[in-house]
Amino acid sequence: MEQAAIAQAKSLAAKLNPSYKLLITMIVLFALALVHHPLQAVLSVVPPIVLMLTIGGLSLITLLKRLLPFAVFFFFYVFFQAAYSTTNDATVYHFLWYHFSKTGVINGIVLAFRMLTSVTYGVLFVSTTDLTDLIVSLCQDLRVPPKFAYGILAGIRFMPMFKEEWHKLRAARQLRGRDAKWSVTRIVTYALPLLSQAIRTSERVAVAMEARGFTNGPRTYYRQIHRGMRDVLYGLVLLAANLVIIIAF
Amino acid sequence: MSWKLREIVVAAVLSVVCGAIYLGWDFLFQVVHAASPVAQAAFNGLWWIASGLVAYIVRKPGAALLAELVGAFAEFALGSPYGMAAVFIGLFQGLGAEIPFLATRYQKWGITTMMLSGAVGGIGNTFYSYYWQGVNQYSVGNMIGWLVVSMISGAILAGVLPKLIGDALKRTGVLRNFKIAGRE
Repeated sequence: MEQAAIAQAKSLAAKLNPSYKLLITMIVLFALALVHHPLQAVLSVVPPIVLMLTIGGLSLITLLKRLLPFAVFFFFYVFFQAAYSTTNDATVYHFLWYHFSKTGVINGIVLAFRMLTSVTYGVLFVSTTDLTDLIVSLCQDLRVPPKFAYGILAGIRFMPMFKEEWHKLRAARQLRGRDAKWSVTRIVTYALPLLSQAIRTSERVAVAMEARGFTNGPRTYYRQIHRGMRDVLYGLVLLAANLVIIIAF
Repeated sequence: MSWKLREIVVAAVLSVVCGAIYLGWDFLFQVVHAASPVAQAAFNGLWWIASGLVAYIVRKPGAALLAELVGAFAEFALGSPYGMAAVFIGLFQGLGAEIPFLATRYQKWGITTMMLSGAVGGIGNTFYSYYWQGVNQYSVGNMIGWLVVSMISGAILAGVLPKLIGDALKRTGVLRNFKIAGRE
């Protein structure tokens, strides 16, 4: 997960319980299926944006920078629906096999805003959550067995090793004049050695963890994840806001 | 039947690798969708390859679901254009892919079970896409096309392909300590 800036790390959202934050976000995203009108869709983006600018500690510029790559996808979502939605109104415009309609464009805008909401909650979550805190919180708050939580954390943590391994493989192959002919086929050539190396390393990590006494027994935690009224408040505010958007508009 | 630590770590590593692949796929196949939703469905199967790969190697209850969730979370955390919805769709794809393994009580790991798993993962994908991804607005032909082609795509890309990768890895000998090699 990306390094949060100091301002974000100190933000109120960063102090929320990671597991509850994740659960609440998932519930809100689940409810997005009920958003059908353009106004609802546009409004559903408001809560996460307000949260990011207030308790998320993100500046407007950072926010725009994070959301900008989504602009292309926003266009695509509108386009898919505009071109493929089935509607009763007369087709406005024909082009090749596409039938663009007004209803389709509206459907597209609804879908695009829904996806924007999902992306915005995502940015809010990623930029205010520490991965290790999330894993520890999963154990402490949601009773995920530590074996799974820490096992997965260990697995995720040595992702950067892949990049290094990739460069090594490439250097070794170039030295022997056996590098892949095209850069696109390189992934096929390198897949097996990369994966088998990864499996070997993971086994070593697992053995090392067990050798240091990582077992399923009762355990204490160095990091204590806070859980309290502010998590409840956060959940209630978000749920209420979305309920209002879905019912009132 | 309980999981060993090494199985969990290997599952996580493989899932995260798949998550990185999912992210690349996210960007590639929007263009194909523009040409036709059904054409995009043909590529859908790759998005639940982690399920088949990890389940085939580890062969434990919940492997397909766990792998897909971890993969989808990695995809999301690395910056997927689907945002948090990526985790959500992963949940449905993983649940789908898990069903055939559960139905065979985690005993049968032939090509048929693998293809079934990929195909049912396609049903999970369609369920999500129908309610959240706007597929419910398409014509009936496109909807059925999406379902059928996703299932076929899943059977091949998330069923046959992971089996081939798994078998190739088994031949290298690195999986000797895993259930795929007939040992616990």
